[in-house]
Amino acid sequence: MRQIFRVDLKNGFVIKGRQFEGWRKICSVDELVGKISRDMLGEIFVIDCTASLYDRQIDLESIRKISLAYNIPITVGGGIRSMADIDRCFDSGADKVYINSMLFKDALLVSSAAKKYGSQAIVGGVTVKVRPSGQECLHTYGREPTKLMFRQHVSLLEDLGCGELAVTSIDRDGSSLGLDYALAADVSAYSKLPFVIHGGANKTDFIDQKFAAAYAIEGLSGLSCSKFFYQQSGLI
Amino acid sequence: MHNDCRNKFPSHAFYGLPTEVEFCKRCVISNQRPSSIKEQAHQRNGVKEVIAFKDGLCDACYVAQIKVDIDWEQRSAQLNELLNKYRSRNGSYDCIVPGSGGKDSMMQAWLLKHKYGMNPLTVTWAPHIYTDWGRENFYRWIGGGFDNELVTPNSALHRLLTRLAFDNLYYPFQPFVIGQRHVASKVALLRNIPLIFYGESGAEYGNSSEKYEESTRSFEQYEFLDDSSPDRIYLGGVSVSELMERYQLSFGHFHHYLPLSREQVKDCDLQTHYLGYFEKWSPQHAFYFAMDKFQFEPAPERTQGTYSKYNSIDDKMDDLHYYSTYIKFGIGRATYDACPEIRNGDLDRAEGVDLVLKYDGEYPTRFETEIFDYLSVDESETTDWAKSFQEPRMTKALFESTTDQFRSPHLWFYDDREGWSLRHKVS
Repeated sequence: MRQIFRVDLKNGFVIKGRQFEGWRKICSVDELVGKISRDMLGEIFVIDCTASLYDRQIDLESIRKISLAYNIPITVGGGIRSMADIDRCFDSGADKVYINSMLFKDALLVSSAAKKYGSQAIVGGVTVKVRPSGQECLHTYGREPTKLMFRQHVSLLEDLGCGELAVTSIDRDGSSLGLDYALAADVSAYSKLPFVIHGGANKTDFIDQKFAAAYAIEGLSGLSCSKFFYQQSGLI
Repeated sequence: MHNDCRNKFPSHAFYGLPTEVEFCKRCVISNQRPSSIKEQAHQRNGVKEVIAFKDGLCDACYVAQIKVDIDWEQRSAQLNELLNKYRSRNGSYDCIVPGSGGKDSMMQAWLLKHKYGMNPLTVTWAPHIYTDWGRENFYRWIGGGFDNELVTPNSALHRLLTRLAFDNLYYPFQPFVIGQRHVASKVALLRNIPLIFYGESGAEYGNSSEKYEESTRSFEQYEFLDDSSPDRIYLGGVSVSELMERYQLSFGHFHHYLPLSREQVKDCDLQTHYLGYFEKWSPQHAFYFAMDKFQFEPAPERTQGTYSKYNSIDDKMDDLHYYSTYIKFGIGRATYDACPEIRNGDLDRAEGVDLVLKYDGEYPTRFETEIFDYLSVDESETTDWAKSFQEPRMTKALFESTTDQFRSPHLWFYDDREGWSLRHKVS
């Protein structure tokens, strides 16, 4: 089971919020790479929240710094809007790109990217909020309703050629209540793609009993955390 | 005023606003931001006081600079000394926390009870139209262990005043603002509770930096009327005497929208303070505090007109209110949300600019149907209020024609292809 460290970036800073809101600065990217050593990490997701939310270009400089510091698989996302953006991410050291908002502006770009770089290089992001109407998906850093329900979103990403899914529970984000395995079970039921789950990770998700339960969910290939890792590493 | 005519008068400013538009060099507010006034004097042709600027810096940013050097421990000790004189010893209420169950009132209530050992009564003036998540947060607030008095006005009259305020002032939020401003002191007087604590000082948002030098909120400024004659008190831009005649109402029907009189409070030791004078406040800090102590939930989606999910999320009318500030002053919700976050260091100015350019002035579609219904004056068995309106039903066409009347020529420019555009945008 892959253990993934997700880093959210804002303006050269590492940030962490709760339910995708109230982004607290944790440290600068320079401080992050100075404090976190390679042997503490297995895999890293880097999401630039300002690129998506502020309509800016993705922060390639920070991505290069992180990529150079850690010789580990790195998935990059946030504000990817064009094939040129995707090209630049790979040129900056990304092994995979994470797309979410782009799906709602140019869905065909997803399939074009999958054809160009291979499905294994394209990670489809799904950000889920449970509402009275069901599991609703949002984009642009958890802000814009997609009008897609969870099942539809997952199916669409699979049909367009994504090789993997990254599913985040907005409700659990920053809560330390534990990863949402019920959500993971739903992904498994809706899609044949491998996927990682994010949102609310705490220490129980990484000890033996929970780990075993995670292995039982077909398709679940990775557990992702942010706040838990910042706490473990002493950054917060 | 016809659209073409408006283009010819770029120096003509409505509401007495400054004709030259200036943006703060530190935050993103402009010098068009109106300051709080006594709403009962608010008429359409009134002159607005606006936020002060000096050397390119707005008054609120000046306050933010002062805030950096404050000894908060000393301020906290000062508050404790004040509260020692009023702290209840028998479980009776000793202070009032006005609020809605948002992040700020959650923090206010918790600090007063658990840090300072007080026994607050929370007091809420009902929103125009509750959002589901706002109502749930309200119950979380009370569920955190606080008594609450929820004051809900007669909805028919409240909606009438809202419609009049929209038609005459383009200010549908006025009835809420007025009621909220006075409800705490009325409950305080009724229940003999001597202290009221609001959250942040208005000075942190631009209501005169002089007010930041003290913790108290002036009764003179906000509460008392200089003249309580019905023909010189205005609600929704209409004198109360005219409202009484037109709608067959008595003076007493408007009690929620009138302050206490000097006579009523002269023998009381009633004080209103800003807790933000004694405790360091920022929107983000209050958000985390409220999440930790009350399980406060941000809105499930972004509020239209801004990037935020946690600021002022309990009233569907908020969406139209901030759209109205964008139309009248060129200042939308993203500006109002970004400015305190810039001042508190959670955003930098460049981020604020990007967010304002992306979200300010976004037309609020999500609650449009409900808001239009709310603004409509329906025919009724018991009143003939609807007859006083040429168009009692609010429609999109009526909404747009009303909106255009309030666009000041010095702020707005009309182009046949592009439609309306602001002449000045932050950069």
